[in-house]
Amino acid sequence: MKPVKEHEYKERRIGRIYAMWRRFKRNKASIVGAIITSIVVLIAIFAPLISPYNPKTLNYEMSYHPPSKEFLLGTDSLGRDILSCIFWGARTSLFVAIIAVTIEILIGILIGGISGYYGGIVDEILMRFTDIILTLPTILLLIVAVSMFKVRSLIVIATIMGILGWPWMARIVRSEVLSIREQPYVEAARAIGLNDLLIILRHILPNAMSPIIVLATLDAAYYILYEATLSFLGLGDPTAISWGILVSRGQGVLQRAWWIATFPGLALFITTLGLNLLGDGLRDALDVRSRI
Amino acid sequence: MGLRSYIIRRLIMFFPIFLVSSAIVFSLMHLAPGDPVELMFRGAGKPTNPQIIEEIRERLGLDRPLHEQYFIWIINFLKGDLGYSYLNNRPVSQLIIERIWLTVELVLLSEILALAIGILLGVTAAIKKNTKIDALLTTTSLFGYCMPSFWFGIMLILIFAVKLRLFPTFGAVTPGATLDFWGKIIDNLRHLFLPLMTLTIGMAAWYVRLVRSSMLDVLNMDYIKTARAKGLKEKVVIYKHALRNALLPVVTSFGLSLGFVLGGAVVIETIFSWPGLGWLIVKSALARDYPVIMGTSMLIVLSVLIANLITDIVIALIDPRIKY
Repeated sequence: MKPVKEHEYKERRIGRIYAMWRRFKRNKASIVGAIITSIVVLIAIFAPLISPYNPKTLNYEMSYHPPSKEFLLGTDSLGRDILSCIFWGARTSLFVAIIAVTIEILIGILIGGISGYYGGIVDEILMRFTDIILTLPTILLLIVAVSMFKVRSLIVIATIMGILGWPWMARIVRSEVLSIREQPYVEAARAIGLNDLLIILRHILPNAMSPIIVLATLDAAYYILYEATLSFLGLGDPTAISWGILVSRGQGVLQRAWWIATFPGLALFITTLGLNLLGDGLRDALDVRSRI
Repeated sequence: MGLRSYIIRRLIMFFPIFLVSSAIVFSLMHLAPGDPVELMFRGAGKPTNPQIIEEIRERLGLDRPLHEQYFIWIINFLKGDLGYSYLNNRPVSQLIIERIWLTVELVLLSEILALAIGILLGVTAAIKKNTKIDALLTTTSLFGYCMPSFWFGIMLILIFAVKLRLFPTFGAVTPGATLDFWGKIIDNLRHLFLPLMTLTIGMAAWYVRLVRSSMLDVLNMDYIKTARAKGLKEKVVIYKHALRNALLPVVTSFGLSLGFVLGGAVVIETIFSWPGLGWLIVKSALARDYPVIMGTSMLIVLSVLIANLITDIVIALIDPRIKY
């Protein structure tokens, strides 16, 4: 076999990415998911620029204004523009999702990596522990954990979510590590005396990226849902503009102003749907076994 | 290793699993910085005399190290002593007994309904694979799966209670109504309808996806081809040969799904003011009523653990392929 030259290697890589893209776009649902997700991300980034009003400005004369040209999605009891609140709420959702997913990945890689690489009794204990957390109802644990905090900031909530949300990630990282661990190139790395950490980080993890990305996308939807649910129950960050808080504000005044609860919840629904479609599409495109 | 020793080992494993789970719940409760006594008396009622605060800490055992507190708590829990509510000084066990049946009613009916819908639609989607019916069912189940349950509940209230005025949205019975036995049951079921629908949709959608994919796997197997080749009727092939094996993953995931439904019930009971355990937990969480949160959530966790134990044993009994 001829040695692969640098530019040839690059071409092969581009070819692989192109093949992935072809698999991804074959499924219309994943394109829809990618578009929805991109729109939500763009809205979150540009919320201050595109919001027609300041979401915190009170305007008592305009309270309970139904959807109209002036206020596309209406206003709430204090005259705040719902559309602007939804735009700013996207920021909250995304912020929480990014932090929680980051923590989930870090813990998942640590536990799953150790478990898969070392095996034996360490693996046994860690996986038992992982399974236990997996069986407990997450939303209940979240409520228990946040209830005793005096100040519930978004960072606290997102961190707790990440701390509770890593078990699937750990299991997936573990099974990837298990399948890669015995590959000749890893053996070679071990033979030339690289230490374990370096082998896991440089040689095993890059090859386990696909399932990590897929799971992170699907879990981001969960975290967004959980944050909104906590906020809805009154257990979120009271100072944040959250879709969950908006829905709970609308619940008491459904008779008078149906739009307050309806549209923020719809935004939440579309976002979780988009992330799920994107995650499913990525799973097919990256050829991740369908066990996630 | 035989079946019997597997079951015995699984039963023994229950105790460490219970200990670890309760330790997780306990430590989650203590993640927050700050003094529980401080939390008990927020605002006005806080005693200023540090000696009194010290006495309260001592009486509640809060002056001991955390691990001692944990063991005292878990031993008391197993004895059925869950402490007293900070809010109204009533025993937590009594608060739970007053509410538990409403949660059991909601959760069990929801699980049964979700299973029925899931199997029916899942099998239909699998048989009609790649048709319009399949596409419709798959899309609907994805929608149901991604639906934020609290929002779905409020939309149901908006449509069925506010606009159509068909169902009540508050509580489990009509207060002050004098009804005979059947009248009471019907009244309760009318109150149950909307929370039940809300709780069921997510789980049903999940079961549809699960049954569909597991049914498709089974239908591809050789023994199904054999059954068809023998000239058996398609109905017999599907319902007698395929479905039995396709339902194995459904049985396997029963414990997990019960946890999911119980978690969902916590949120949904709150929306509909359904006076069960879920609403109790949320109310107590908002008021930082420490003993009530601890006792109630540990009871829910225990029931999930028991459901998982039963699931594992049932699977071992019905699936002869599993080797231990």
